[in-house]
Amino acid sequence: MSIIKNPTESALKKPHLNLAIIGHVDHGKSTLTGRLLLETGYVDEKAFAELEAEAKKLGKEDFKYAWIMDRLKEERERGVTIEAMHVGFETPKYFFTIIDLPGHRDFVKNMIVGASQADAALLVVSARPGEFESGVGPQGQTREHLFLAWTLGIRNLIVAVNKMDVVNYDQKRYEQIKGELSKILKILRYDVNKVPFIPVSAVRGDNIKVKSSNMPWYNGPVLLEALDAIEPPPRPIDKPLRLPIQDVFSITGAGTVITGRVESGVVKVGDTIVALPPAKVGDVRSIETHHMKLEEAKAGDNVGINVRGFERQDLKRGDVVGHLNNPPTVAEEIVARIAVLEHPTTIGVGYTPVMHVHTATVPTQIIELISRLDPATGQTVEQKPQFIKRGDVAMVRLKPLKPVVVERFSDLPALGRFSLRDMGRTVAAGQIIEIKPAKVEIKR
Amino acid sequence: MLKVDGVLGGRTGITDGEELKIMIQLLKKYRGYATTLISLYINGDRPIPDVLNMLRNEWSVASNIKDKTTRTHVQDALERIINALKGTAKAPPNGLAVFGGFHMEKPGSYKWVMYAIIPPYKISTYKYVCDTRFHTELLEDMISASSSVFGIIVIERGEAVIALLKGSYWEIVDKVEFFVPNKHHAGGQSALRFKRQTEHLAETFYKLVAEDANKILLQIPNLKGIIVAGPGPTKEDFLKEGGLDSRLMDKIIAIVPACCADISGVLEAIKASEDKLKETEYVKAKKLMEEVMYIAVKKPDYIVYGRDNVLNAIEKGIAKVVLISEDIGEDEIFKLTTMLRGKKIDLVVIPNSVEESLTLSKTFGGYVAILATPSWIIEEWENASQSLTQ
Ligand SMILES: Nc1nc2c(ncn2[C@@H]2O[C@H](COP(=O)(O)OP(=O)(O)OP(=O)(O)O)[C@@H](O)[C@H]2O)c(=O)[nH]1
Ligand SMILES: [Mg+2]
Repeated sequence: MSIIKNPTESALKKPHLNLAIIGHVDHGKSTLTGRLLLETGYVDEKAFAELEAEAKKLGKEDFKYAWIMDRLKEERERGVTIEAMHVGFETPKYFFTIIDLPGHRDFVKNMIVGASQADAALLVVSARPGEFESGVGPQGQTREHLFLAWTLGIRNLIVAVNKMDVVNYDQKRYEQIKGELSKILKILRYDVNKVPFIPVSAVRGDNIKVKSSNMPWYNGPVLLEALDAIEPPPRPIDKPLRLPIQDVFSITGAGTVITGRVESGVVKVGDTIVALPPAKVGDVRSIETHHMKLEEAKAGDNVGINVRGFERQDLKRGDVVGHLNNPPTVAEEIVARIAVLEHPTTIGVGYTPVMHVHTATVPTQIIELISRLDPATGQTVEQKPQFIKRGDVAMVRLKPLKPVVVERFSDLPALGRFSLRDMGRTVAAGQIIEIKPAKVEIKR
Repeated sequence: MLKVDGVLGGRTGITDGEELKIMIQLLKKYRGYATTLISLYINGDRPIPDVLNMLRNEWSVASNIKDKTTRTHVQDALERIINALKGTAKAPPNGLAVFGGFHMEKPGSYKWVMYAIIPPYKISTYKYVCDTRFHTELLEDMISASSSVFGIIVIERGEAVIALLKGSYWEIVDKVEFFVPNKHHAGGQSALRFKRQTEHLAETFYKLVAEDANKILLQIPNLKGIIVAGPGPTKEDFLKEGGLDSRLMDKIIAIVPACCADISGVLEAIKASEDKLKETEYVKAKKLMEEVMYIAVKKPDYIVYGRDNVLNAIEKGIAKVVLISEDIGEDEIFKLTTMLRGKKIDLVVIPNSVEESLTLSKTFGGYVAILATPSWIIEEWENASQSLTQ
């Protein structure tokens, strides 16, 4: 018996939204996610009682809500989330897939994979003195996750100012945090007036489902209301099918299953599909979302697909599925516009960071600096610059050092935006302008 | 390195492995008419008169060669080598390698070549060979034995690579992939059973990686150290549960974070443990290129690039360090090596195996000089000399 209950059929009939929970390590993302599930009746009470007892026995009772999400031994031992976890839950209007993400800086890679599948993000920031400050500091993941969320095209944002119990529900602390975060959001071009800032306590349950009497000074929406008020982004259903693979596994007796979010197009049971770069072809046997069978999945749906003809060892995270008549593009070289966020010295030709694009992670080398652009107007200000540095916007030619699927940003934005990271930092964000495709032979 | 033209005195040797590697490449290009190319290795401190006697003896033996061209080529080569060595008391402490003979440009057309090399590492045996090619094996062994090897293990959940850093380059030599299920696969089955199964699989994976590491790394005699890298606690769990051989455990010099078990993770691991690897040519070259980039942005007056500017800076004596890319070709590298000999200027060849060599060749045209004084001094200098002559 799983601790999280499966959604009902009526819940799954609601419009779907994917929500990424982001923020600095230990700010309470998993705790808040666990709490949301608990408050909406998605946690099995008996299983939770067992988990509570186990946490208590190990002297980790304050992690009991987080453990609903954190299940790996190494996660529980260290009290950190390592892998993204997808769970279903509902508000009056929507069915949400919540993606609880790791905040630790070593796992930003996993964070990006999860956040790349999101329509909206819930940023969790701790109000505890010192914790908020390290999150927004130069090395902090509150700052980095916000930047990545913007880069990934997430425009729906909600901020939960968590651990309000620790600061005695102090309105001043809340206002201070709201003020400082608003500055960062403005730099990123978020419309601050449209971003709800909700003071909560994940542990005590304040302002999650019902308005808390501990914070009479707050008159905005509670968390569930804010989630219910999200405007769904447009779904590119009429574009070609693209499904970046998040995971592959095999189920004894059933065969190979791939999971991921359909970024564009529609896939139906019986369709013949191809996964690239490995160029494997298979037939869709069945489609599932949160244990419910579907006849088809369309842009925005988070699904598991059972494919006849796919073998687990042939495919991996980052491969992309499409239809044979319009297969995904494998890139040999990429021309991209990048904005340099942060770099200790300067970037020249030869620089080899990691490119994170949809669910793929691929080492990539800058092989040409084509031009430097005016960040405001996009006009070229210098041809063939020798190097670029922090604050610069430039057109560059990139060479992925392993085969990877990408698309032009103008065609399919979800597969055309990327970030570059190096030495544990996000160095740049980019959009793909042109692709020199690699030759790939697709055989049935 | 110097081409020998009669006298040995005042000569300095090849200073580093990089230079030696290029020399080896050049030597390999020469071909003799039949077995006429002479390779001579003289061990350190050996009396040269002793060597001359042996060579004279070889000269007499060669008079029995039937084919006239072969005979004259060999004897002529021996004479020239004898003449070059004459007057020297003993070989330098590191020894001397001499390569001499007539290179066959095309049948009937021959060019005399001779190189005397004082290598950066000690020659310990005396060896004389006459063949259709020069014998460079001894020099090559020297490079591989002298450059220490570092092992790099980058490990994530379910994925790991083992790489070796050898002198001026690194390579991934092994990749281990293993299925360790992710959290969401728990759906449906018992949470407890899933947990145990996952832990068991994680442990099996660590054991597989350790097995491979033991197999690969224990075989390397000149293994200097090991770096273990990866995201989060996985690397520590691997060290705890994997069963890496205790001899290898003792060699761990750094445990550092790295994003991914692939090329980028290896690059991050090297960068994060740079201080422990600074003796390797690879890291030396990388750090120098980093310095170049830094100066180029912060103190651009202290750098010139492009062949002409760099040669000019050398000539004017304001160059401090000269970096050249391997791409500019052996002949050009030799020219510069010769030119800088005796000058207080460091010459560094950035090997193509270093990622930033691309910056050097593409952005700087293959040549960069870091200057001791700002570059505008050259201009002032030229203006001043002009006004003097007016
Ligand atoms: N007092 C108080 N403690 C909280 C609250 N929310 C979370 N915590 C505590 O903060 C610690 C970290 O909580 P997690 O939920 O694991 O944090 P996280 O953001 O998921 O951490 P990572 O996933 O590792 O980035 C735990 O000890 C929680 O009990 C809160 O509202 N009040
Ligand atoms: Mg967590």
